[in-house]
Amino acid sequence: MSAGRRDFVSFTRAGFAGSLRAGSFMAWTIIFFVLFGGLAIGCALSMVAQRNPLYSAISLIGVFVALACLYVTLSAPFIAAVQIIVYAGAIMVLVVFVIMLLNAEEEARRPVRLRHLIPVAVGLATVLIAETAFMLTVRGTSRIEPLPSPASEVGLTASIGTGLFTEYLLPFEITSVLILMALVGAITLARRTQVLGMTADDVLNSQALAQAGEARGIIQSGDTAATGRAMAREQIEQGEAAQPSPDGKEGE
Amino acid sequence: MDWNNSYIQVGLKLVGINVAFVVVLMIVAYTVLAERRILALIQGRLGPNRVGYGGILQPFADLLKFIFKEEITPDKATKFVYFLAPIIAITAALMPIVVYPFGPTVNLPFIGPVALVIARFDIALLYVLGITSVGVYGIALAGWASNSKYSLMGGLRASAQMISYELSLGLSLVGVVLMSGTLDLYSIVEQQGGWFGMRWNIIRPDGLPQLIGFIVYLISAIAETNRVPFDLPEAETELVAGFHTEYSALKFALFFMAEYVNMFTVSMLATTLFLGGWQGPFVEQVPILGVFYFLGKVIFFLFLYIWLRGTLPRFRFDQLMNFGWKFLLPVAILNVILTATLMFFMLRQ
Amino acid sequence: MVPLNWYLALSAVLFTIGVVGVITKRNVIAMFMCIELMLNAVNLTFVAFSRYFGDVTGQLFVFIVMTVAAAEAAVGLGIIIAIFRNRESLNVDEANVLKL
Repeated sequence: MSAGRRDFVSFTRAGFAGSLRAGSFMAWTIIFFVLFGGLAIGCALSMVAQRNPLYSAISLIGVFVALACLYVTLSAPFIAAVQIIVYAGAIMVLVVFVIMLLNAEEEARRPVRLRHLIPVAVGLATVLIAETAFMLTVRGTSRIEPLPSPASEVGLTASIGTGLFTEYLLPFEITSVLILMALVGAITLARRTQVLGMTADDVLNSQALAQAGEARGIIQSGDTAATGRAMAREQIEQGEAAQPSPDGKEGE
Repeated sequence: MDWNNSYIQVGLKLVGINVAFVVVLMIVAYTVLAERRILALIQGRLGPNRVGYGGILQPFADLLKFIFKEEITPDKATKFVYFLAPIIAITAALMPIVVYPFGPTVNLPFIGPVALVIARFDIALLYVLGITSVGVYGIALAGWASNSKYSLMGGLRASAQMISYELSLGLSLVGVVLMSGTLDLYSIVEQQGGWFGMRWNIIRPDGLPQLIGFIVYLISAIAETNRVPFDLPEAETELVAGFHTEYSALKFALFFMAEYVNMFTVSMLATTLFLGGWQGPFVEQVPILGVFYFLGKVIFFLFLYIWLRGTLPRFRFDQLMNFGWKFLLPVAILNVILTATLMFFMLRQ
Repeated sequence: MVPLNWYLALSAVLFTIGVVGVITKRNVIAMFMCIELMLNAVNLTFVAFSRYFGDVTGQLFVFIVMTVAAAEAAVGLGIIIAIFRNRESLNVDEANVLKL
């Protein structure tokens, strides 16, 4: 950390070069804030505006990376790393897997009778943002300036570890119970219902159910035989294929 | 030149990043050549030895071939994601290079004492783990965007494998972190300095040797980088070429490079955390020896990867997942518990 | 130095975009992602306050919020997959009766 602190020492010399060098640290924090904040807002708008859920997921990953960079500028490197590991590296991987496995389609254009909702939503959002801006700038409290940056060790791993294991030990243990609950819940939801103790009757019943469903047009995904039969029916209906002959000797 | 000016420091770091980039690409290119030659010698043939003396210029011939090949893009592929996937893969592979210390503090003639690490910060190990987690996207998105069933199966299998073994990877490193008390890679290497430069974490003479952690890490790292025996998702005999089936020319070269850079990165992490990084005999007297020790250890790991590729058959996918979740993860957790318990009793004395 | 108000304003903007997303989107996975965006906006507020008052409590709470978000993601996506298995559609407009 000492090598990093030397980076921000600025030498005061008379003239423009001196003020630029002395103020460069200030300018750089503002530049980083505008850059990463703009990136976050841009990716968030893209996420809401995209119709394809995979593009929304990629935009959300962009938001998470921009926020992690903002956390680094806010002297919270541990939280930034945990944000990348947990949000961008685990939660969004899960979401992208679900989108791929469920083959989520693009959202169709909404019906005409509901299209007036979008301007209403945008208008209300603008009102909310304007209210927030008003409260923060015109009527806000004194503009709080941060402490000088190397003054405290807050945000480094040691401080987070100390806080987590001394003063906030109970919330930490409760989150471990929470994760256990999530684990049990996810495994229960993912379990297929007819795994244990399938008898021959169950197998026959499920076959009958599948055939009944197939007659109504519902085919289980992965049931290649039923899919083949349905495709053959469709091709016969559209005249691309011939009816199978009753004794199976067609085409000789 | 005042070396304390922040702009000069940033410039120095940029120069360092460029040098590291070029060095890594050179090492990766020659690792590909070394793999082909060593695999050939293991299998009783010769490998590429025509281009240049003994095949030394082969990587450049390969590069020329990749540049001039025709880029075939599948018709129904999702174009944006198709182009994004190799970019994510190679970026996430190259980013962790900056935190590894490849030498002790040397005294350069004009500049003064320079610590041979590009970026030294407090959470370097978490940074490496985070970027490795993001590298999964390159593979998953490539498999999806190619609009081909081989690619999709290969991509989903490869990403499932990678996220399963990430857990054991991270947990195997917790033992080292417990013993060193810091996540900063430079400090971890510095602490392995006593005992004639041989106080490496794997054979820690005055502590707990992290042997179990090392073996768990090695297996998880081989699974993370999709190498034999865990390379079912991209094996030629199984799924055509897995997630990079539909990629040609330079985009395929990016995936190829990303895999070897990943190999290089996990080898560097293994030497830094378990084999003492640049530590070794006589490093205090001759600091530049540290760089050679570091390179030697990394090359040993790369040779180990190639050796395993030439020797072992590959796991079936369900065997792979069973192994990762039902055996490796409990062993990694056991290692953490064991290390923590023994450290607690050692500290109490 | 960047004043604290700017961070609060950025967080409010991100939160609002998340709310607009939850209200307007009809794909249940997209709605879930907008909820994650709202959680992240709140995380940004916590970290900004932690920096400006020099207290680590904000960052600890962010840690706990991230854990809760991860648990919620696991169970929520499991529920989404279970609903998809039964209704064959990810459109929340079509999931308006309790009968499958």
